[in-house]
Formats: sequence, C-alpha cells, structure tokens
Amino acid sequence: MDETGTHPVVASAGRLASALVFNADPDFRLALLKRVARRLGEAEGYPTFLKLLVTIGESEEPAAHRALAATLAIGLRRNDLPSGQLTAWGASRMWQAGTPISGALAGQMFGSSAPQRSFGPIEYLTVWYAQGTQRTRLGEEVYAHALARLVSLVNADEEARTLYPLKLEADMQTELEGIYMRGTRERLSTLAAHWKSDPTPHAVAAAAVAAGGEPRQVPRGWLIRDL
Amino acid sequence: MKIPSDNIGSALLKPLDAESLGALDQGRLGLGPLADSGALAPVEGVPPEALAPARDPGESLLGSDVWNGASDAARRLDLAPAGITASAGSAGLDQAVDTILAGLH
Repeated sequence: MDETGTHPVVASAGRLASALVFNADPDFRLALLKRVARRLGEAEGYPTFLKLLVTIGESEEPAAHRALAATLAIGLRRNDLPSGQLTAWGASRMWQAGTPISGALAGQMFGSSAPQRSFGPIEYLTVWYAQGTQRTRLGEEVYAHALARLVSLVNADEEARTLYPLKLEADMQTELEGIYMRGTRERLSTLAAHWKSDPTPHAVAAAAVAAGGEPRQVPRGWLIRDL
Repeated sequence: MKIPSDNIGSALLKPLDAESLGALDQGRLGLGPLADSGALAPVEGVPPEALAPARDPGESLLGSDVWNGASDAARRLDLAPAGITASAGSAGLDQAVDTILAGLH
C-alpha cells in the first residue's frame, strides 16, 4: 500500500489506464501495452499483467475499459496481442528415437529451457487452467472470475468483442504442435461459440468451465497422454 | 569401470507386452490396481493438503482483493494525463513503462 492506502496494483493499473485514455495513437497504445507485458516478464510475470487488465476491468472507469479494449482490438486485428509464455506440451515428441540429439535440443529436453508457446490473455488463462505447464495449475474459481472480467473488458469495444471469439475459433483450427491439448481446444471452442451467441461475461466463463469437465489433477512433474 | 553383469540372467528393461500396451492406450494402466492390491499402502501421517501442490504465486495475485473490500462503485482509478506521449520514441516508452510499474515489484 502507498501512503494513500492504494494497492500498488491499483496504482499501476491507474497509470496504465491513464496512458491509454490520454493517448489516441493506436500504435503507441499497443506498443505500450506490449512493453508492459514484456517488462513484467512474459514467462513468469504474465499473471501480473493479467491482474492489471482484470483490475482495470473491475474498476468503475468506463473510459479506461474502452481504451484498453480498443487497444486489444488493435492487437487482435494485427494478430499481435500482448502475450505470455507457457511451456509446450508434448515437447518430447520433437525427438525421434534413434536420432542424435543436438546440443540445443538436449538443452530444451533436459535443461531449464523447455520449449514455450505464446498466448494472448484469455488463451493464457485457459491453458494455465486446463493444461499442465511450468506453473501450478490455476484453480477453477480464480479462472472463472478472471475470465469473466476479461470478457467483460473486451466487450467494452465492439470490434474487440467481435474479433476475439473469431481469433479463438481460428486458433482452434490450427494443429501446431505443443499449443493446445484436445480438452483445451474444446474448452476454447465452447468459450468462443458461447461468447458470440451470448456475450454475458459470467455465462461465457461458466460455459468455459463446464466444457470438458474438471481438468485432471496430476502430481507435479507428471505428464498425461491426452492428445 | 566394468559393471559386473554375470548374475544378470535377463534384460532389466523390457518392452511392454501387447496386453499392457492395450491397457496403456485405454488409460487402464495406472496405480489403481496396485493400490487396491495393497502393493502400495497409503502413506500415513501426511495430511492430504500437504500432498497438494502449492498455490501458484500468480494465482495468489490474480485472486487477491486489491480494492480492500471496496464496493464496485468505489473502485475508481486515478486517471490523469501523465505526460506519456506517443512521440517519446522507444526510450520514452521504456520510461513510461518504468513510471507505470513503479512500486509494483
């Protein structure tokens, strides 16, 4: 807390919102938002970035909602959302038995630099909840709350509200290795379809939680074969 | 160093047989039957919560109340021009990010 009793997250969210509200240049807005995500750390610090977005979404500041959602719309239009990184699943399939392992790949397989994939805010949140990654799996309650807030935030801009579900649907058509497991694809597809038909944030979040059932809880370090 | 192998009559590692492979494909290969048979006795004296993974720090932050219990209507941000301009360039952008994130770490 600062001397006024304001939580540091609220103070930072206010400064970020101010920078977006009082600058109309779309390139600057998007560059700033991406720079904030990068500075916090796309791998370990991205939840802090999500918390800033959620906090702006929770505030009673419609102008801030619109400015942030419009900035996300720019990122959606350019396929350039501020992204966070989570470890890919199935990285071991990159190696075929009987073939030599290069130094770089060995480092990825056995060292600390496991292959990573980049995700936009809603995708990151859903993969964190539904897949095994380098993070301890996100709980259902926090997932549902944060997801509803993000959907509500995106809904503040008509273009963002239209583009985000379409982006999710397009992502689900790709089969790039290591990004989405089957259950996550089902969950994001349900989320996108529900969002398009009924944009009520809590309904969208409830549909996403219900899709595919509860993610399997597995001990840390275990991998589940679920293609 | 030579590893003594005179007493090893068969390979230590064997491929799975067809039945086990089928069970693996159907998700039936696990600890359930072993645990049921008593081969793996439950660990005693360890509370279940101790076996659960620790909560991710990111989840703790995401789930925290940063509004100090304020009602929705009282959740206001201090919106004001902060002198962060689009003409500032990359260095200016870095400075803007410093300003925005001050006190957050």
